[in-house]
Amino acid sequence: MTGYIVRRLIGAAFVLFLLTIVVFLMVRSMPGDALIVKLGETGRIPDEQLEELRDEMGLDQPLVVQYVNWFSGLVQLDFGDSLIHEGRDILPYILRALPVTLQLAVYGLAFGLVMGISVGILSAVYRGTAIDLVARGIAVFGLAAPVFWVGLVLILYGSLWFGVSVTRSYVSFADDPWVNTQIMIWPALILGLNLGAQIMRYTRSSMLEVMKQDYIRTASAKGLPGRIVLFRHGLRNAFIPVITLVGTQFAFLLSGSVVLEVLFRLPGLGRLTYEAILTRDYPAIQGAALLIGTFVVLINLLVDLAYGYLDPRVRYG
Amino acid sequence: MATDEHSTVAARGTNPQDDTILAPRRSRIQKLGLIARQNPLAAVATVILITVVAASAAAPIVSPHDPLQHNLGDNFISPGMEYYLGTDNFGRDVLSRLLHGAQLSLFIAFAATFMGVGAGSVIGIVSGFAGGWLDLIIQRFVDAIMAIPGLILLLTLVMIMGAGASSVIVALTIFIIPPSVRIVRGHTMTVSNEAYIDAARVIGASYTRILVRYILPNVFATIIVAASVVIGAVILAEAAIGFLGLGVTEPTPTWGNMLSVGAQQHMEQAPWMAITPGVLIVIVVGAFNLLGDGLRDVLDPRLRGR
Repeated sequence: MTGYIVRRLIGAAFVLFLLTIVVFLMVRSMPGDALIVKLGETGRIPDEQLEELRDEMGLDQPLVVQYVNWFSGLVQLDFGDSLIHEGRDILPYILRALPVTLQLAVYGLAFGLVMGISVGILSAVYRGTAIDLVARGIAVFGLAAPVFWVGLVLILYGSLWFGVSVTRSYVSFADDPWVNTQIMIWPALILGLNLGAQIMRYTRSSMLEVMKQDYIRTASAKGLPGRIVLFRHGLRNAFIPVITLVGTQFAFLLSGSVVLEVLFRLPGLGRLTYEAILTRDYPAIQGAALLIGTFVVLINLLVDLAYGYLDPRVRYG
Repeated sequence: MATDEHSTVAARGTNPQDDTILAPRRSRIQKLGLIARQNPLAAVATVILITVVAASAAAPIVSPHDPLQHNLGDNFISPGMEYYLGTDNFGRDVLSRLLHGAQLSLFIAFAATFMGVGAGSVIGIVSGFAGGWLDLIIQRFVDAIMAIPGLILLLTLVMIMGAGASSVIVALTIFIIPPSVRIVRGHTMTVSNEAYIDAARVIGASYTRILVRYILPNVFATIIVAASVVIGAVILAEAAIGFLGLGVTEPTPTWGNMLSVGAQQHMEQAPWMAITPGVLIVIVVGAFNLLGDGLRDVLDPRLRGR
């Protein structure tokens, strides 16, 4: 297990390093001067400051030098200066927005897991019945419905259907947990529906696969009650692919939170990034994308470790 | 598809090619009928998709009104006999805009899927077949790109390249290369371990020959399945870009920008503006997903039932 952990840690560190290159190139794939011209077009920055800015961002230097400068800043937790915000340093802005997004992601993940796994099991156990049909219908809808559109419909009809207005101005969890939960619950449910649909499909197929195995027949043949066979022998093994899915879907979850934060006016990292993109605040985009990406890499690392722990074939493979 | 490696050998005998040797010869149409009967959902999905594509191709002929024509006296008319799906804030016919929007949305989706899955397949096959450090570096790069939430990557690229259909296509292409690489690479590795690849090597086939004549035909089914799954995600991503007000801009309609921030302020007054594009997206993406499931069952019997 130790060897496996070390291998995974080195792999994740390497991915993080590549992530900085990708994020850097994503924003700077355009020649530096063109960037400045674009900034000038927005009319927000006076001409004399543009020269200064070009200097400051080192845009006249080769791309490699720019990257090294940026990277050495990152190592010292210097994410760079915003072009828009007062006080310039973007790290505090990002850190303030982070909890909102994490809260949304955790709620969405929790709902997705509960819904996906329970419906997935039902669907597998009652394969071919009306229950299975309804469950698969929900999955098809959950996968095909754009997250933002479900949110839009909920905002339009929420008060009609549920008697509550789903959009209100944001209140943080620390200020008022109850109001905060009422606000977060809707985007979290929508996010969870989408994720839950995927989890449901995986749970169902994984469950059906596992229930065909010899050890399930053995368990039934030696007279264990169906419930024990299902949960202890079936579900435990069926879970493994579902766990990997959660890892790969985490980035996807954060994608969904961009549109939901915009739609529900939540001051999270997704909306911060979106606004940075609209205002061409390049250092802010880089900082936010890098932080979110780092989270995803770390989650995937945890999932890999859990996977290795649960399935010995993986760590010796 | 974590179980690929385990279940390959067992299912070899059910290769579609073997079928054609053993079973009596059937015409293509008979075969299609057989496939459709085994996958009724996929058959229905195909019919829906053909209908939507045909309707969008014929949009200039079949749409009842001009999609761009402002009819200021006729704004916010609810669905009825004159305007089947109602009108928007400028009095433009929603049905006509949907049909014309389908043209651009579907074109963008097909173009990006074709290029992205194509490029991803080439990289994936090379990566999976070469193995070693080349494979390692490519895969870690894929991990790194996929760690950035797709929408942030897409929005940044579109913003840098400027609004418009072509930059959306390029951005979406870049967006789907990494997942395609991952899927195709995994399957290439499985195929590379087959005995017939060793056999080809033994008789002295060159690398290129092995790749083109032995690996490619065997991963082709995976590529098609990947494309049918990816295209749904591409349509959703394109819609999300439009919804956030980037990408293809007004007045040209796409499914995404019909739901954009600009349109949202009128939706209290005219909810049908929000409902119909969304329903259409759900139907089309759902149909592509069902088609993908059906194709996977037919083309890749190993994964049947998954």
